[in-house]
Amino acid sequence: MRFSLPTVLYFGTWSALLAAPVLLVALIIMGQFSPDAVREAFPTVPVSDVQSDEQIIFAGLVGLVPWGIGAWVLYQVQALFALYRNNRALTIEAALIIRNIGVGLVLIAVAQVVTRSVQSLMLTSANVAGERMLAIQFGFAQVGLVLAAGLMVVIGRSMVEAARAVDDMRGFV
Amino acid sequence: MEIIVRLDVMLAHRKMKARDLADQIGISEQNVSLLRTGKVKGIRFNTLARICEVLQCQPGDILEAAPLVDKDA
Repeated sequence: MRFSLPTVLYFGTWSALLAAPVLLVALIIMGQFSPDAVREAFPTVPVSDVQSDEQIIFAGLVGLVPWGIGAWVLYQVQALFALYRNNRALTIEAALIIRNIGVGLVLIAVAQVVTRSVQSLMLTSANVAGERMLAIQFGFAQVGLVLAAGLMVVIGRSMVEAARAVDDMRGFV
Repeated sequence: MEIIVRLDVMLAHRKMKARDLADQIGISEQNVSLLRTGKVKGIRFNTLARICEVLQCQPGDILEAAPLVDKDA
C-alpha cells in the first residue's frame, strides 16, 4: 500500500469518523451528560432545582446536533479524499462534495447558535416566570466557520469550472 | 458543415503505420486511433504541426470540411 498524502488523509478521516461514536460513548460513560455536568457546562444559566434530571440530560444531548452535522461533513471530507486518492480530484463530483462541505460548515455554525439557545431555554423552562432564559451566543468560532464555508463554496464553484475545462480538454489530441 | 479527418488516406499515401506516426509525433497510439476515426473534439495546433511535419503534408490534406450528413435520414 502506498502511503501518499491522499491515502493518509483518507484513512485519517475514516479514523476520526470511527473514533467519534466511541468517544461519544466514552463521554457518556464518564458522566459528561449527567445533570451535574450539564449544569457545569452552563455556569451562567440559572437551572432550577425543580427541573427534572431527564430534562437536563436531554438539554445536554441537544448539544450533540452540531456534532452530528460535523460527522456528516467529515463523511463528505473522506469522500473527497477518496476521489483525490483515485486521481479524480478535478471532477464535477469532487466540486459538489466541496460545496457540500461548505454548506455543512454553515449548518454547523447555525446549529451551534440555535442549539445553545434551545439548551438555555430548556434548562430554564421549569423556572418561575421572569427567571427563564434564552441565551444567544455568536462568537469568533461561528464567524470562522461561516468564512471557511464561504471559502469552500467559492472553491467548489471554481472547481466546477475547472472540471468542465478539463473534461473539454480530454476530447483534444 | 463537419470536419472529416483524412489521416488514414495520408498514412496510406506515405505507407506509414499509425503506430510509427504515434511514435514520431509523441502521442499515444490510442489518441492517433481516435483521431483517425474522428472521435475527438479537436486537434491542437502543435499536434497538427507535428503530423504535417512527419507526413510532409498540409493541414488541408488531413482535414476536410464537408456538408453535415443527417445519419437518421
